[in-house]
Amino acid sequence: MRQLTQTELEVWIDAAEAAARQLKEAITAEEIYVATGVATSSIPYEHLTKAFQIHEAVLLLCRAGYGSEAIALCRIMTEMFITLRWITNQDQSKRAEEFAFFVAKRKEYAAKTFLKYQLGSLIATDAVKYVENVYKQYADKYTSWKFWSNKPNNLKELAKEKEVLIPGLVAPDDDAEMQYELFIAMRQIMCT
Amino acid sequence: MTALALDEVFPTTGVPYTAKETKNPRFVFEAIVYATHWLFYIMIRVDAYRQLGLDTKIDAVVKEFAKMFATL
Repeated sequence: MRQLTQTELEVWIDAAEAAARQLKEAITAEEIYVATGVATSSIPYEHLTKAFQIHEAVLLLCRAGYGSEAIALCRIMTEMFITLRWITNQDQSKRAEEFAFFVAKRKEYAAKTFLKYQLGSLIATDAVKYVENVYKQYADKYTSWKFWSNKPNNLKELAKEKEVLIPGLVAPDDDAEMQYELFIAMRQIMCT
Repeated sequence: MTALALDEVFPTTGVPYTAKETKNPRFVFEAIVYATHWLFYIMIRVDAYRQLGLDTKIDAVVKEFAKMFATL
């Protein structure tokens, strides 16, 4: 592919911005009320909000000419898509709740790390006590603090699950595994 | 960060080091396309799962953006 000029790249950035704006307007017009304390309601929308923000951040970097750095940021989008696809694919309530509860595991991890490096600190000790009182019941459900799902416990495995929610979707939409592999290959070649 | 990403900023030998900016327009293009591609996918997923009925609107936005590829 030929090298695009700065002016051409600006046109692409404008088009991407316009696309995001139109999508935002479309969903805002629906006047959706996210249900309180219902993970199946909140999880998809929090992913979507973050996707809009990352997209905007990528375009900001692109405007400044930082393409390689912007591609690194795109990785989050890939991970979010694979995660969201798996959560919404089947057994949605359980998966969405697991995702939400994993925050407890991360809080526990953060408090314990704080204590590890602040040995003897009353604040750190209290932080661990607080987190354990409030979140232990949820944190205990996880074997690892690194990944939110116990089984499967990595993105590649999540991506391998056959498409159920949108069975009529044609490739590559119905093949998250392929998308994952493709993105990893792209990263190997280009950056991050 | 892989070695290949660092290769982009390999310092010039034989001259004093400076943290010189290196920008590659090709990566800018790739980032725009990938980020927008994933945004579409996430939007489609949320729409399908929450049964919002936005598929026609999303489709129109995707097609509009796809027209850009004809300019390459």
